[in-house]
Amino acid sequence: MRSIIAVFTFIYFNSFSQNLETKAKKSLDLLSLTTSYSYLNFELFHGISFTHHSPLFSASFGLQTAVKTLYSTQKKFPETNCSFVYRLIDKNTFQFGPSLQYNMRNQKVKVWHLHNEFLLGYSLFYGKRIQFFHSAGIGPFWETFKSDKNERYSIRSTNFNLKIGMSYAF
Amino acid sequence: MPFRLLYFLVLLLLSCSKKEDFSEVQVIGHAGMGFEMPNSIFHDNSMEAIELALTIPGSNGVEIDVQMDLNGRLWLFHDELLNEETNGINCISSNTSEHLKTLRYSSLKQEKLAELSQIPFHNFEDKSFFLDLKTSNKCSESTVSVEDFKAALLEINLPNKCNIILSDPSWIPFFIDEFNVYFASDDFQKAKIILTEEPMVKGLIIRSAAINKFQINEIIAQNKKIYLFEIRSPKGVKNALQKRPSGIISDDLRAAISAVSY
Repeated sequence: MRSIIAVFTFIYFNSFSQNLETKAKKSLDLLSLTTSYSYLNFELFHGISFTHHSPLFSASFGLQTAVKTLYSTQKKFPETNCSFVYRLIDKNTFQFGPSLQYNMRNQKVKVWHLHNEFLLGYSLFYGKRIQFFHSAGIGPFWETFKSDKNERYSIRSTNFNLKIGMSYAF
Repeated sequence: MPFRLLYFLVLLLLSCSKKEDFSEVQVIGHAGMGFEMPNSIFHDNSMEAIELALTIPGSNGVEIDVQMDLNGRLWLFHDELLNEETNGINCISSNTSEHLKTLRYSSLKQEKLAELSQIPFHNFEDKSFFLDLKTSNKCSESTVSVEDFKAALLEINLPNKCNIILSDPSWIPFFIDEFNVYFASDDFQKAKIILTEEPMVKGLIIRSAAINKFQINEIIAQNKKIYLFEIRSPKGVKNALQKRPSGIISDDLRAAISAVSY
């Protein structure tokens, strides 16, 4: 039992010391391959994202291909997203903080539907080169499409989202 | 090596889909965009959900739940009691029209309760409407007056030969002349008897899990239509479509449209 406590204490202080080291570092730009899954919309995303890490903030821009409901309809659609995370907790391998996300997607459900959403919530990351992440958010959502009568139809709503995923940084 | 294997597996997974043509199967939105769907933007049976379901390309219509209030006006609401889903109490049938007009769903958007007469039927002439008439009154533990219900329906400017869903066989003779009547049951054998006894009944509305492909063919062979409901997941949509019914009343309208129109 004592040895377990000792090991965990060592890990904690070790990561803390690395954290200071990280904070002392300058900004870092990373290009990553990402895979994520949206719980509520049953969507699996694959894509590439560019992230700029400053000592306190992370800003990322990503291009993704999503597969709606992988095992049945297999509809693929593109999504572009931007996110901004304030790293409230920034340990060596763990980061957590409030986030603002913007997602734009073009999904074909007989015709193309354009979705725009802003999500205010939180994000957490675990790992280094291979990183696991989770994000949740709530915010305004717009959907626009052309109806059968060729009229532009727009819906405004409130949306919420929960996502898990992993990324591999080059 | 592991990455090559992973790449191969992903390709294999994506290439395993066989596309089938389901374009002859009608796609109907259950209570608008779906009944009790957590990822639906609007509450079921709300005017917003119904309008979206009718506007979205690929949808062939909507199924809606109709109940009568104390003043004989018709409202779109599924549950027997208002308590759980709205800020009201008791049944639709024990509330006045004036009071029901003030009620809202307890959802994020707090949509108002919708009246049947509010639906702009004339804007959606190419769509099918299925009105599921709720015949029981839980609050008084009685049955709603069939004559009053019919009179209330006829007062509304409904589309020509609107589709009516009835689960009480004793109501069928009252509506058969003015409407396309569909019988709703989970018991296939009972439904077969009703369809034989009432030849004017257009068809059957049945839970997807309660019927198989051969039974569906049996009904279609009698020149009747058959619509499946309780289709919640994309897998459920696919299973229902493969049974080749006349239509599916889907709880995930977008998934159903995606599956039909590829």
